[in-house]
Amino acid sequence: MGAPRIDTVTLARYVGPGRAIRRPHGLVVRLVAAGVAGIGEAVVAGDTTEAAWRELRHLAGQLVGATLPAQVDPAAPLSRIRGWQPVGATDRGPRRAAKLALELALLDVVLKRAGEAGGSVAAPAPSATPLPVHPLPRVEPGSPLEDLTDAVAAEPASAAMLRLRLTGDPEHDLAWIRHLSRVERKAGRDRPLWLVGGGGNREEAADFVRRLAAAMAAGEVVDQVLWEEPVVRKQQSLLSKLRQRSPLGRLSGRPELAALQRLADQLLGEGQPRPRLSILAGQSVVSPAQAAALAGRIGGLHLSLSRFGSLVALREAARAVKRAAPQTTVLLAHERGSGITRSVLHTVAHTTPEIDLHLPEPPASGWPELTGTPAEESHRRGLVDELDLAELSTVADGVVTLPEPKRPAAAVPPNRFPDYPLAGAALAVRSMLLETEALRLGLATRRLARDFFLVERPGTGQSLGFFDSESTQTSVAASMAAADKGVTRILLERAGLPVPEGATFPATARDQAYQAGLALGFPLVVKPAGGSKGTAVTTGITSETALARALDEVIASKYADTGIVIERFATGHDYRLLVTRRGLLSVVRREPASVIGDGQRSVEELVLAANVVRRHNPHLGKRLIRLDERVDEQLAQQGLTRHSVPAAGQRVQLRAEANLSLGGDSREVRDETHPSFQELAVAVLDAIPGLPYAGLDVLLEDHRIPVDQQQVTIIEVNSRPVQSLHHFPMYGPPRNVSVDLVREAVVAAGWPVTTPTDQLTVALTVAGRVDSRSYQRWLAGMAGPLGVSGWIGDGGEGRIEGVLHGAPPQVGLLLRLAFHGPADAGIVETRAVPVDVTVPDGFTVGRKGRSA
Amino acid sequence: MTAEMSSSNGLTETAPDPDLVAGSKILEEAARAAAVPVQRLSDTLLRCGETAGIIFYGLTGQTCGRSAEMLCSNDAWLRAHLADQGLPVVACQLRDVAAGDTAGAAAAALGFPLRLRPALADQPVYEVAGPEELPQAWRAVADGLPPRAQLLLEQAPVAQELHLAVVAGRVVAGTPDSAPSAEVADLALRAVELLPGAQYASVEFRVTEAGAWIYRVDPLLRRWARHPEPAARIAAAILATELGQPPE
Repeated sequence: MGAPRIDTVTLARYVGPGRAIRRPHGLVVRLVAAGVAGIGEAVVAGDTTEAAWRELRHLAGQLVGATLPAQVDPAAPLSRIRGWQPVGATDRGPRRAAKLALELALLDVVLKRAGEAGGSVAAPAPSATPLPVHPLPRVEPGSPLEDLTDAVAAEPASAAMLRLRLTGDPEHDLAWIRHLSRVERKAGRDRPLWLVGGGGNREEAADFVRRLAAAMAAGEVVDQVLWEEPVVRKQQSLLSKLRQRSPLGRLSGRPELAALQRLADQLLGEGQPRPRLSILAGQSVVSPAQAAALAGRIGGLHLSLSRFGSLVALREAARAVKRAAPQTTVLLAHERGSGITRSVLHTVAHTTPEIDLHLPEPPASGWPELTGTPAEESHRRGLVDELDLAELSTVADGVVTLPEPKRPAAAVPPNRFPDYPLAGAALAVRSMLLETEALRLGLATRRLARDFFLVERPGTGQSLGFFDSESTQTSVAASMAAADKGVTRILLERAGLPVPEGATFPATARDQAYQAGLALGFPLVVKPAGGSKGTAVTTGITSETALARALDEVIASKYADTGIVIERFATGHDYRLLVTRRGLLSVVRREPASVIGDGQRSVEELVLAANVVRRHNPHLGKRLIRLDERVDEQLAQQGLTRHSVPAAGQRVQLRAEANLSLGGDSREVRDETHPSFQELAVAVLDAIPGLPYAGLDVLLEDHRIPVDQQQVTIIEVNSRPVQSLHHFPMYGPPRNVSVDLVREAVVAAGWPVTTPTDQLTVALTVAGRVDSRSYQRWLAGMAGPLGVSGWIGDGGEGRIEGVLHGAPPQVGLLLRLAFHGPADAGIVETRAVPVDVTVPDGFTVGRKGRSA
Repeated sequence: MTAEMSSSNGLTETAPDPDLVAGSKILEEAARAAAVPVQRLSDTLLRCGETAGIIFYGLTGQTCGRSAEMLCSNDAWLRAHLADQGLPVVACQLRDVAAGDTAGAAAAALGFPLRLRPALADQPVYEVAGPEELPQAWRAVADGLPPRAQLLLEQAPVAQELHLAVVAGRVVAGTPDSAPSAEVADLALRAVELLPGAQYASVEFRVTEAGAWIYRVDPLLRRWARHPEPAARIAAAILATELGQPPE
């Protein structure tokens, strides 16, 4: 086996769970050397993501082309890899995280290569059994004891230990510990209790040890208690922080922890197996030297991979502890992250004899799995089996491949929309866009629902409304007519407009519909008259069996009562025309999902990159390409698989349907659309009186040639057109159609129309059930990253008031978030009124900008 | 409206509302009586007039906008909107299902007796005589609803119900049939005027000796389809308004 080189490195990042704008990110590394992939991951806090990402790109770039060592011991050879930089004493959060992710990937590939060669580095060690821990919910002093009883009742009986985060109120904490012990014993269990924090300063912690030991001696508490980091380091100065990171500081043995352990041993009897109170060092230990210095002086060390920033260093620390004092317990901490991190910890716990216990917690919801099945059995010998690129492509919001692939000459770069940092969030984007434009026109808004708001003309009592994208001028009757596909077809047909030949039947007339279908001739389309989002729609029906099945599907759907529409299947390219009575606002061509090869990346890597672009598009952010069986079928027709590497410039079609929800692309083409389509589109509006505008789904051959020189078929008329499709096309010029739709409504109401402003300053009022202070902090936390300045404060009478100033997209987004509110809020309404005030930079919590 | 429409405020009608079906028939009769060309599109949809004509849904046509219908779908939204312009409304408060702990304060602010029901539906409804009955009523109404669904607490004085149908600035029908006071009729006209994009609606009042309060407004005038005689009058007035021949 020759010395392999690192051929490619793929870096990806994904957003962790939470509701804040800056959420934790997982940084994933996949490096490939001679066909073997090494996987690593590190998690960083939201506010350090960008720095860590930059570090990761920089460090990874230095590794490409480096030769991997042939030795099987992973500890030593990493330093021999050109470009590899081990974690250093001065490395801080972002750099440490980047190095950790790379180190894990390097170790993984080295281990796998050793596995290929029949090595045994990853052979299980005797200390393999992980002890799952159940974290109990964070509690506040004064919370009823029943809460704790319920939390214990809800925990899985498989947990080997219960972890309780102390509040710092000794009376409260002791009461809870006693109660927890009673609940355990009543259930016939006596599991160890793991306490975290809460001890206060040195004296307060010692006092708590005395009281806890007394309770244990009296049999009021379970026999084994572990207390991690009992001494709180309050208001640590910058100097002391630097001292702790210095080489000297890293040798510090935290004497206060050793003193507490001695005290506990004196009180409970040194050498006594039970009851036993063990003092644990946790976050204060970040180096092998520190760990060795504490060995034998406290009950144990709880070592964290993310705090060490290095698996090599962590294992060194474990060995150092055991060399110094074999009786000291070494615990491997749980880490947040995907299945990659879980797999790493599991493997390390199983293969490091010096680690006594691994304490995994149940995976938190919101983290992806990301681990897949390796191509070769021997590759299971590493830290992580394989990266699931299909899953990663549905969560990643950033990806880099090194060396950087060359963009094929013909490829047009997709549009980017950096003004919308929450792209893809479920925030009813179309309603948000309309509200923003109304404010830009100097009008006030009152939002009552996520998809409904009123526009008010200040001082007149007059109002307009927008439900979703339907305006005041959209009549209920026209809306209902457009929602019924059968009725729409009748109206368009009567107006002489091109619609598919067909008919509508009640769900009770299945046989009649079936016979009508046969009479129309294949291919056919069957759909419910009042359905939406493609529910129970079957296209391309070419057999009697398929026709029967399609009819049954409609009848079984919730839309059965609306009737069955049966039509001839029309062909052509799929377009959305957004039209008002004044003409076409935008034309978007929808194309089936596809990727273009670069001769370097596989299909699934190309999909990963394509989805990252989509994720940053507010309209497509949740409409991703899913690598599923349908895609595999489509690839097979082209003689490809997900792992194939298409040639540079080769377009690979992934889906048959031109459906954006299935990963299709959107291309804005209004400027090159033939004028005859404007006439056609306005004629559709004329055929359905009561529609001020609509989105038309049309199948046609080529938008650049006249309507009468090609086959054109109007498939559907949408009274609630999705404007975000036009604002955020993948290719072609973005169209701010929302300003036109609002202007239409304003003109129709007879209100004066003003020029939209480039900056927005609005007075905000929020009403609803909220904790005022926490809501204000929450909103301020959103405003900062969005670049919105202003203030938020208590407005009295249960209301919250503030002023927001900034670029319209960001102010509009913050307003939308203000209505959404934090998880525990119940917002009833938000009001926004444009105001003419000077707003200083920054965002403050407290009335009228005064510091809170 | 079906239950699904009421709860989601969506557009798709999975089963036609009998009141809207009946209203559509009444409108069709009115159109035929006026020699207006009619084409039936569905149980609830009708096209009246020459060329493209006007599309009607139940009793209502082009000047009954989705915004008005949406605003009136939630009594709390509507009442806040009208109260902002100084109209008297039956006082109410919205609360999330999950916010039962704040219901007591809301109820105390409104005063007893009060009624408790889902914000987007009339059923189930509980009459709550005093604070001791509130927790049980809350549980009963909230049962089965999602945590962020909203419940409506509203004052429930002993009062008479009054319904007025307003079309193009005129009261064209009422129940009870006796003519409303000028003050109440004016309130009804102003309420309809304040709806975005509506020329007609049914306005429901609660009337006591102390005055009249607006309880609800329905731009689709559903209830009138159950009363053929006034419904025919309303249909004729709406038809004339929509076809550009406002009634005298």
